[in-house]
Amino acid sequence: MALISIDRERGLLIAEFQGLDKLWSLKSRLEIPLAHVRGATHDPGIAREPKGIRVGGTYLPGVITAGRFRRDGERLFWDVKNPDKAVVVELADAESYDRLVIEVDDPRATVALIERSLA
Amino acid sequence: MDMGRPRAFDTDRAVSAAAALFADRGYEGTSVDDLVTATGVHRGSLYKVFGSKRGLHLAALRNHLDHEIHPLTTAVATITDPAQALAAAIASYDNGPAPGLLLLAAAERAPHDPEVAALVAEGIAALEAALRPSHGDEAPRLASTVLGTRLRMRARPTTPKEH
Repeated sequence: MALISIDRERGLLIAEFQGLDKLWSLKSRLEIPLAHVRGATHDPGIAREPKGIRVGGTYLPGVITAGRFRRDGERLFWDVKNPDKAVVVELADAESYDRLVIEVDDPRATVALIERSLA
Repeated sequence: MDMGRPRAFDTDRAVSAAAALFADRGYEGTSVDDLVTATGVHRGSLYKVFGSKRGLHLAALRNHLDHEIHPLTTAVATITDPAQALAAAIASYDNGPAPGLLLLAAAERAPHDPEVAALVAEGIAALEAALRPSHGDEAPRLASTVLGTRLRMRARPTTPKEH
């Protein structure tokens, strides 16, 4: 689970990983310039797709997907235990990840927050 | 291997398939799983090209305006007989392969999304302009009649679809 917030002053999307997720994902937080954020989507189904190759982090199928993964030439960052609450954040080419797949407490509110900050 | 993978799908066809789905089930009622199935496009490619479900919905609305709403309103604008112009608009406005996409977007998304609101306003302005040659200053009122009639037509129970 992560807390996603927007720092308007610095123009950043910030994902802070909660509790042990820091350990599983090998990250405590990610900071992405809003200019590199292309959109956000609530997407429970993505967790059923193949994850590709784990580059760093933790993968216990059906339990947790966390850390850096590589699939079809794309670089993904995952932090998901409960797929129902997975939000996909698509990033621009300039970022080190193509896509973040992150579990949040309230996917609808998180998607709305990100979409508003991009308008 | 990693040379910016070519887009292995027809973007226009994916957008059309998505438009039909959004028109049938609404925005919230359409999941990314549904979109992957209907378009036949990999999830990763959908995200890469459209950025989000919202991005694909906006592309679907844009496509519906360009290929359905504007050609129809252009045709209606050439009809000078008031009754004929109104009948043509009622029969065909916001119709085609994604019937009702504009009406649904107006009700569901426009209040929360300024970009959707702008596209909906564009479609309604086109309808008003199309009715002006036949109805003059009454065009806005008759545009509302067209929208309302389309809504009532959509609300009628239908026999199961054949597709």
